[in-house]
Amino acid sequence: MDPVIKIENLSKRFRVYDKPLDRLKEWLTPRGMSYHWAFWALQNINLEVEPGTALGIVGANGAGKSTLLKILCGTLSPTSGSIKTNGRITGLLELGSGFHPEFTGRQNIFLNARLLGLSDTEIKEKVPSIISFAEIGDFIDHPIRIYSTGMILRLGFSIAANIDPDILVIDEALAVGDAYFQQKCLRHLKTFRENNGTLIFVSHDPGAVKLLCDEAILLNEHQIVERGKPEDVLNYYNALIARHVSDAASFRIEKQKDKIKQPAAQRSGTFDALLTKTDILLEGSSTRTVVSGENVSINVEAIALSDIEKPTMGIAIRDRLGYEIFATNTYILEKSLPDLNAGDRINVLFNVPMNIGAGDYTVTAAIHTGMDHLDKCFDWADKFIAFKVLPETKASCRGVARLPATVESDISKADLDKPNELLSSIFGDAPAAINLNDDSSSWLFSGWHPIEQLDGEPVCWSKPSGTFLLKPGAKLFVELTVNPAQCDNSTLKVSLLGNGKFLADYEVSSSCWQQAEFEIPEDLIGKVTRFSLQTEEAFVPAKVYGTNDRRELGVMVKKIWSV
Amino acid sequence: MKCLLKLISKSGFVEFWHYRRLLWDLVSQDFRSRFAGSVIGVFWNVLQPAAQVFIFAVLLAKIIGSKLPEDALQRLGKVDDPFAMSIYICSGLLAWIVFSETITRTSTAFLTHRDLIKKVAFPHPLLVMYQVVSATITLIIMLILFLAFIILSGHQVGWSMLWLPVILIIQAFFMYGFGLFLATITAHFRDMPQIIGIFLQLWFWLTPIVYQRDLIPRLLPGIGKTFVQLNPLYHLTNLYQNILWKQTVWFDSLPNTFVPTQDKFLLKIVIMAGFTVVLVAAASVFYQKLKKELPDQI
Repeated sequence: MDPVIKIENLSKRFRVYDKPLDRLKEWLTPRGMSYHWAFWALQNINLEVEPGTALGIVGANGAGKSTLLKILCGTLSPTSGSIKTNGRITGLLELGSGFHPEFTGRQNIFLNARLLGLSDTEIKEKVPSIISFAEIGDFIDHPIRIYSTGMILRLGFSIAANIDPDILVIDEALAVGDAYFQQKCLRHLKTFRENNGTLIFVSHDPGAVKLLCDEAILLNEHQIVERGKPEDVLNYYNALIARHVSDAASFRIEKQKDKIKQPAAQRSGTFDALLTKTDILLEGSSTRTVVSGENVSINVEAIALSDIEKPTMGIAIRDRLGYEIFATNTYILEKSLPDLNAGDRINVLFNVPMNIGAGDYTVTAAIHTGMDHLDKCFDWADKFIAFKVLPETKASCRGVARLPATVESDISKADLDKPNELLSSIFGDAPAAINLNDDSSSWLFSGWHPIEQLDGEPVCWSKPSGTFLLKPGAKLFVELTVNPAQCDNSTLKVSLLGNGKFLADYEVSSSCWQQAEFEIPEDLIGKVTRFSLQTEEAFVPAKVYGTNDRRELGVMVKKIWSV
Repeated sequence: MKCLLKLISKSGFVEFWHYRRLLWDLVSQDFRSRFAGSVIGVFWNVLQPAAQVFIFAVLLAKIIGSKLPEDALQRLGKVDDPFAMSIYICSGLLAWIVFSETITRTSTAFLTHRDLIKKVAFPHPLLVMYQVVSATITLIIMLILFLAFIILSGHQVGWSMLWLPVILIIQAFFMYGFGLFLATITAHFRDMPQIIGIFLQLWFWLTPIVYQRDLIPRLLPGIGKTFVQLNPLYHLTNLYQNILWKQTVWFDSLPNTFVPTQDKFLLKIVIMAGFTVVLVAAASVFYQKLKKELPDQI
């Protein structure tokens, strides 16, 4: 198949002028004189992308990722080389994919669609799906300038994704959305992939790249340095970062020698021995990024400055907030280390399965005697190195600890002749009345909105089905009302269910406060019963009044009691 | 011929046709935001030039005591007609007001739409074009109101008005060429809008709009006349004056003669159209040269 994207020997140069006057000079002087310096954002990029590929682009800030994407979308032109693309490209470049601040959301949909060359009929066809995907409610008819960042992202993504692009370009922007919308986008991107769409995805989130992409390229210093499976490319990237970090660290130490400053890593101890290195090894090579559950070795190295008897070396892992989540040492692991003479170098490897949740962590290292550092501490390096734990591609759990959980299940018959006894054995004795202004309101269970105040009195909206527990008499009363819109054209039917079985109906025909009366069958009288109040139709204020109240409402209740 | 075709395709007008719906969206939104935002909407857009005309009329007639030129007196009638001076000034001033506002606005067209330029690929001169179209429609509204004013104040409106569409089209293209040129420069030099502001002030007073056109040749004998002749805005405003108050152009003396009686009206149209073609071509070439680097710089 022909590639959808074909980039050959592409380079992009930005001209940087130190002063605006320099540009004028350059224009006015004869050809050949230059007053600028060239910044090459991309150098000799060669890339072919087959249709249906999801290509991740990773790289440090300033590596040229965004420039490459902009050239792909056609907003920047290459300085040399060529780029050929097949089919419609839509992109979400940085934030807000080209909105006019004065236009409403809807007008911006048209603007963007027209800019992308869609015909009127095509646009009209797609507008509803764009609006419903974005879920920004009534804001769609208000100018973009009053939108929040999240709303702009929602609309931007919705446009880019819903006008059937052949190539979809996403530039880090997804990070701005909330968890709900991110999930929605990821789902959409997966469907897009299944329909053989080509995806170009830039992200600093290795998890997302692994999840979405089947290929990745690494941009480093304006060139493509690696292309392959996302895992391999990310590992390569991490190695690059690690090198960069260690270069920076040694640089910092060099500088600190001159200034005699306290090192960033907090050190304490007698310094009879010095910790010289801490490293995390994955399959023998140094890394600062670990996938949750991987087996790694934490390597601690120390050099003795004086003779030391029976040293202990230990490590601790702290989370982002400095909370110690794991610590061990050679003493408690019952591995006694030999005595050290001055000048000896000792290397200890702790083999640890990284059964911790995704996040940022630090390693603290120490060398001391005895069980802990309180006895005699030679060197204590707090937060010596930092590392990152990435989520697995298929996460089996959430939370901070990766406990090895298994699951089993079993089904047998329970004796359900007396459901009320079961209920009362768990909940105790239910009251005969539920008042919203005292403790009895806790007998309203699932299916109720939070209690609110109406004219100084507590009231509670039920959801279309509201559950409560009660010990009824012969009759059950509910003091209730509804919104005028609910009983405008016809009466609203409210049904009462006891222990899951239908008991009685009540018809609401007006919106004033009224007492609904229900007969309770003989066998339930005096027994703790699970009731539910059901309305046949949910009332959503937003739909009727155009407000932003999107709750699904049943009836409004003031009191429930029984005689 | 080949060269001409290439120039036309380069000037981007073919692309405008392709994006005509978008162009119309931008124009209508532009109108809406200008009119809908304020309390009395459309009124402001009429009041502003009206105030300007009023100030000049009072200033010139009452304070400085300048008189209408001989031919204007003949045409606009009675010496003490309070509206004569307004009509005389308005004829050239309306076109100038729209011209200068459009130039000021279009010069920052690329800068103000940088979000759009940086994120979507489309022909950028569209941004200049929509502001020019919007300005031209504003001018048409102003001219209609002005014609109503002429009639209401007891003066005549003749066949010469049929020339207005021709002049309007020429002016629109002239503003487009000028705007595209300045917008491209402004993308690279942020000082341009300030320079343009000063430049327009000077230009206004160097163009015979609120004074008679023989003033500069009188003050600067020799080069004065050439200087005026080289000013495209002189030709443009003079064309409007010929049509609007003098009304001594082609068709005017219909059916007696088809030849303009004086003022070399047709020649001026040709000159103005010539200025415009050269300007649009030059601006398009200039834009094409710098187009690649435009998104890099804004």
